[in-house]
Amino acid sequence: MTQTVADMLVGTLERIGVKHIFGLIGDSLNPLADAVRRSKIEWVGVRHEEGAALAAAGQAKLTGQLAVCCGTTGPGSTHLVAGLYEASGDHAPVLALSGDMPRKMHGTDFIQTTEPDLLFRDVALYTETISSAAQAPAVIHQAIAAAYAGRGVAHLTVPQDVFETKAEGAVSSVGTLRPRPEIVPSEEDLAEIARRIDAAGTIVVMCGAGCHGAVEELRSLSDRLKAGSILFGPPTGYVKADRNGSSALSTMPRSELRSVRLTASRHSTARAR
Amino acid sequence: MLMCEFLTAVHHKLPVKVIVYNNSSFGLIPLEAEAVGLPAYKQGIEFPNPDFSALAPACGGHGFRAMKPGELHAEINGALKVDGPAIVDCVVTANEMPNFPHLELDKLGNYAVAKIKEALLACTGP
Repeated sequence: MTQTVADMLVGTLERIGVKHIFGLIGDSLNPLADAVRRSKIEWVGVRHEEGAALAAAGQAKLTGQLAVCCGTTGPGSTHLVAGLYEASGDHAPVLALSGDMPRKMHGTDFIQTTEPDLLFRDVALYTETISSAAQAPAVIHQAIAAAYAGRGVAHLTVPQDVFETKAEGAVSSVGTLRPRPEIVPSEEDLAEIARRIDAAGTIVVMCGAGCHGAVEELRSLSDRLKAGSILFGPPTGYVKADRNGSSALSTMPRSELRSVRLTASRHSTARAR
Repeated sequence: MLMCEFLTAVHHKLPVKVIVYNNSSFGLIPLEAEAVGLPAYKQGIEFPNPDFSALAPACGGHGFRAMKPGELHAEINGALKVDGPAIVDCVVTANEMPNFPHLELDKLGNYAVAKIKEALLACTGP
């Protein structure tokens, strides 16, 4: 059977470990759904595309792996946007797919006309329309790489006729499409932080999205310093794996940091005594 | 209308009467797949439905249900007579074919191919 652009996209997602696609089907997504049907990926149907985007955001935050959601032409894809802000705000790697009407309808005020790339510009780190089979491999790679690099939303619009068209080429360097490596701070910065900690009277550990993947280290630090911790983002597994009540307090906006710092300092001073 | 806005109608005491043509399916979506020669994808198209006539009183409105053609008049009249929002859940056949949005000769061929594929899939599984 001839491989289509939809097959190429689904095949790439399969190779990088995507297990689910959250979405609500529609005419322009039919070729994508047919490719999913013939793959190992499970299609998770939802009742509203915002739910699909929130599900993908949640999955990406819990696993650190790329999660995928999709909506069909016009209202289907516009519904994705609100849910995607959760992924962009919490730095979760999500690929959002918008189906679109066949290209021959574009520019004719055809029913359900939208410009998804304009609409998704704010929420997405990368947004592009795939207009030809020849363009697909590089753009698919670029989108997924952007979602992982920035940890955020990448968005692709694919007109129905492009989804159906015969694939050209192949997505290269698929092995590079994975969570980005953690970056080690410089020795000087670490020494300076240790110096400040030693000099401080009371300490509270504030953990944002940058603490992703450092649950054990955070716990050791918190225990050793007898310091309370406040979670601002989702350092996955911190609360769930908590053994000894090392005070995961809550999530809150950064603007409230100052008052929290005072309260938490008193709290941790009391504990130290 | 979004389903949650039935509660808005109740909230604001709006005399809105909602008729659901309940075919328990996304009727047009399978047809659009078949028009391009693809078998309808059951996993993406089939959803469980709520009992809309029970949903209405749960929201503070009135619920009615017509299962057979002969029941339709009485149920709609009932909905029109009550004060405030009401839902009439009218059960229609899922197999009734919607109109092709654009009817072209090649779509008929594609439709036939899709139907053959669906018959084969029914035997072989996905």
